[in-house]
Amino acid sequence: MPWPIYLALKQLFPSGKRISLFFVMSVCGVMLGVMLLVIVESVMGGFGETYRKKIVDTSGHLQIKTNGVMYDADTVLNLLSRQPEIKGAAPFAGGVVMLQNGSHPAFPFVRGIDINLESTVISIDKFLVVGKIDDLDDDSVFLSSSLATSINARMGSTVDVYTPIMLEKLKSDEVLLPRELNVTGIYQTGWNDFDSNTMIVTLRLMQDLYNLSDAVHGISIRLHDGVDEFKFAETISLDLPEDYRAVTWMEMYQDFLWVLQLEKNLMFFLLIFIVLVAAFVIAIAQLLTVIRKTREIGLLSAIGARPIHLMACFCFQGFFIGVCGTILGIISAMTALHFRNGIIDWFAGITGSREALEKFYQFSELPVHYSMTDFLVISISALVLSTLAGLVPAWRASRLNPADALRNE
Amino acid sequence: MPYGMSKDNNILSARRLFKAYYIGDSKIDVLIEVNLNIDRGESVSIRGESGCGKTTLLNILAGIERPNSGAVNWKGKNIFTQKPAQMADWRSIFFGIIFQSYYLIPELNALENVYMPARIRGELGIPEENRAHNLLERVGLRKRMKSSATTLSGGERQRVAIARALMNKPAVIFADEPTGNLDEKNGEGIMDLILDICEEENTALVLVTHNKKFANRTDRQFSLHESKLENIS
Repeated sequence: MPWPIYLALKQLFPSGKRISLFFVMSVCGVMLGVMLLVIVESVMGGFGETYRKKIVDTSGHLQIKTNGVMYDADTVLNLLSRQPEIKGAAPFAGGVVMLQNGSHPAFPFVRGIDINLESTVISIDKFLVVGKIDDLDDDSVFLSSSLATSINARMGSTVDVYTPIMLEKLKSDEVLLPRELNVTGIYQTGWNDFDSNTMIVTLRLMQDLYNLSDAVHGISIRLHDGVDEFKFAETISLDLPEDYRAVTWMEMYQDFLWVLQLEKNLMFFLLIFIVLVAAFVIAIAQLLTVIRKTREIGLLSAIGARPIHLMACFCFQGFFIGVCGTILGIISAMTALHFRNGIIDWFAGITGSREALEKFYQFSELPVHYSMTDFLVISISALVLSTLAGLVPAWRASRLNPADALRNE
Repeated sequence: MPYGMSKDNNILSARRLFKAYYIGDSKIDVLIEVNLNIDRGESVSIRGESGCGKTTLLNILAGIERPNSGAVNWKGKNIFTQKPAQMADWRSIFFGIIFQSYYLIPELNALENVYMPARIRGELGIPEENRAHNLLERVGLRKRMKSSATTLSGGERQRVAIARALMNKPAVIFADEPTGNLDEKNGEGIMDLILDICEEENTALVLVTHNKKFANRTDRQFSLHESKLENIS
């Protein structure tokens, strides 16, 4: 073993003595920083993954869209049916309508679905709190849970639907009566964007409400597990007719996902300061060590230690503290995350915040997603900062004049 | 080694050394026109009053302090014209240093302290391990090899320091008041040990001491007086 590493380890773990308090404090600093970073990044990653799953569950992996409406959906569906990567594809039409239940109005986004094909892309059944998919026909509607609550509708209620087409007709002095629909189902997906203000009708009804004839607004696609949706979107776009494009779930919700990623990056940025503070602890501890060991440094220099090796000795101590802190930090974080639900239960029990947690975050359990990239970025950052922290004291040690160091009182 | 060896035996020579310290605006001349030759295997002592510059001279000869002017030639080359890394290598290979305050590394035990110069030199092997053991046996610390440096007495620490100085088979040992922190009995024992081992290993010795009795046991005696080195043999 090279002597700088040997001596660095001996200084951290002296023969027959207790481990240095400086070492323990420095390692604890790095450990806490790394632990917090791993926990926060993994939980933020968990939120991201959960949202991704919810988006895919409620919108599919891809949507084929065009500028305006799609008149040749069958041709496109035929093309898509030949792609082995595709598990299911279903046309849809969507738009905003005015909904009224008694004196309670709302302006939800309505999605018209092909009942026969929709189940290959989105399992509406899975999300129905009351009712079943077979109950949906051209005279009925499924409401999202929040929408139903806001207009005070329930199973069996009759709601009136007004469409923008009716306004057009009014301009030419025609009057169209609102469409009366029966509420035959209420759904909750857990995806706030979908649950807050949406309703589902049959594709035929939606085409009728928007006067679309046979046209649709797009085609939702679900891919087989393991297929890279982004790569597939690029490939399929080449085969699609002009003006048609494949839009991935990430592009559909890019603003939301960007905010989510921004939050994650911001948390990393804020929490890396804990590691930075730990690095300062290391720097101070190492600097004190250099001051305390000035004579020993002088001695080593006098008996033939090169300045660069003296520097390496103290630099390695910073690096080694970083390694220990990082490993312990990751282990502590994994342990804390393993028991996260117990910890959250305990915390929610003490603060009485369980309901608030479920209401605002819509997760009964804290989601976690372990990302190798996150682990690598955190570990490398902690190691680099710890090593750099050791660099200043190491540089000071290497610059000491041996005679002056030996004279040091 | 008798006084007046042939020039071929000369291994270290100091030429016109000048050293001054500056404290504020005042200048204190410590060494003026100091010349000294050290031959292979000979022992030399330097005496002088406290603060007269003996340690400074020793440090300059050992290459751990630079003079203001002058040269210290090792095998014909001025050591102060070398790069710091080269100077460090020379110190590791050719010089052994014994300090008054021992300067053992407290995190290491006696054996590890003795072995340290070999580690720094990069020579780690069975012969080096055996030499470290033998040296500790030679200085009478066979039973304390594994003892932590901090648990050793003053005399024991100085014995470890002697063994450490000899570890790399240096050509010259520089001993800076090696008995300064010891009682008379321990001091005599240490002095005997240094002189005997240097003779056994054919190692030159430059001894800085206050003690006239110890100084008289070396081949040549010098006195540092008013910044000048005088041969008083």
